[in-house]
Amino acid sequence: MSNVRIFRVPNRLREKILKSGGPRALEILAKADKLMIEMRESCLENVNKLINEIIKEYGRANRKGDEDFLRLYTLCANIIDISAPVADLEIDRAAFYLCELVDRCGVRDQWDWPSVDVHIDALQLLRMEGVNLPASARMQIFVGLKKINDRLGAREAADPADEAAPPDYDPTKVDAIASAIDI
Amino acid sequence: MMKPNANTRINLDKISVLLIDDNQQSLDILGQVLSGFGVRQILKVESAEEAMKIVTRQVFDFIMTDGTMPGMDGYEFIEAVRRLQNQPNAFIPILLITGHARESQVHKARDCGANFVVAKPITPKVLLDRIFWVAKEDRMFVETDTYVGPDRRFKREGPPAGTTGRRKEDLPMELGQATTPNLSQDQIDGMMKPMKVNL
Repeated sequence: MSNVRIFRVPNRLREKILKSGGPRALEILAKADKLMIEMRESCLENVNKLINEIIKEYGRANRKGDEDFLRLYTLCANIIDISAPVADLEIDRAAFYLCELVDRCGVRDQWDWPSVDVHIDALQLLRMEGVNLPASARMQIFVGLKKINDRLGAREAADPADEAAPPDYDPTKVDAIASAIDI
Repeated sequence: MMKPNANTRINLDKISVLLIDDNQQSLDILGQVLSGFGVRQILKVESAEEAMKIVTRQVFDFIMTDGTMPGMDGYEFIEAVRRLQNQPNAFIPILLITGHARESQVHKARDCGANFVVAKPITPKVLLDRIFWVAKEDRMFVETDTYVGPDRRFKREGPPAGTTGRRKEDLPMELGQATTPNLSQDQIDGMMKPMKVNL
């Protein structure tokens, strides 16, 4: 039987934070927002670079078919890492869905290229249109990406053991999502 | 859980923070936000291995680490910090920051000894809330052969009454007893009706 020790620990953070005085939460949040927004341009530049790398290595025109799962996962995770100052563009949300997709493809050791294409198109569209993209179009993009994600999740739940099974998607349906979101 | 309201006064200028992230720009974003909060002592490092050397010789009030990093990752780093012997940093509040978390990583985050997990992209508001939470929280620390960190049993119901291991802080079992009749299977089915999604 293992030994269990339960004890109270000192919390230096509490002692320092709760000392009287200091600015109001409202003030420090405004200052933090301002400082973060100062990084917007440099973050946007790097988000562009990452999207371009994704297109160059995984886009329709350039891929060979045996691309590395981890590399695309890492590129998307890097977009999420640096998206805080540009969160209003919601590129990180599309990158998150692409991470989910790559994860699922990696488990099956099989690319689902039509779905990858829809995600890459969504990343491009969100980046190109930026804040000018109407809210309804933005919502349609994420509804589309979520549907793909849910469909793949449902397929895994129904058939978890059969990793070698061919994909049961209908590419025309995925294309329909892409056209529905006007990519 | 308490949150600071707009007029809560928060004094962060005396705290020292260690930030760990292998992505330089992500590290800079975290640093900027903390600077905005008024934190003056911020040490930024790009690897958990480097951070490990630092925590053995410098005392901090708070650590934030990315989860996924090459080499030693954030989860392993937190576990290693919690196992430090005779080191004030062993009990320090640690926030784990994660971008996309696989399900297995969520379990890992719960079990590595982190106080909280924060999703990227971070917002100043969420980060301030979490810092405030870890400052105000009063969780006991648990040390076992397989886990060292804040008590993961949030409800603190503890083991059943009459068995060994119950603590005086554990909530009485009656709190968890049902006050309304059980739902019928039809009611449950009605709440969880499977929906077909057409693409």
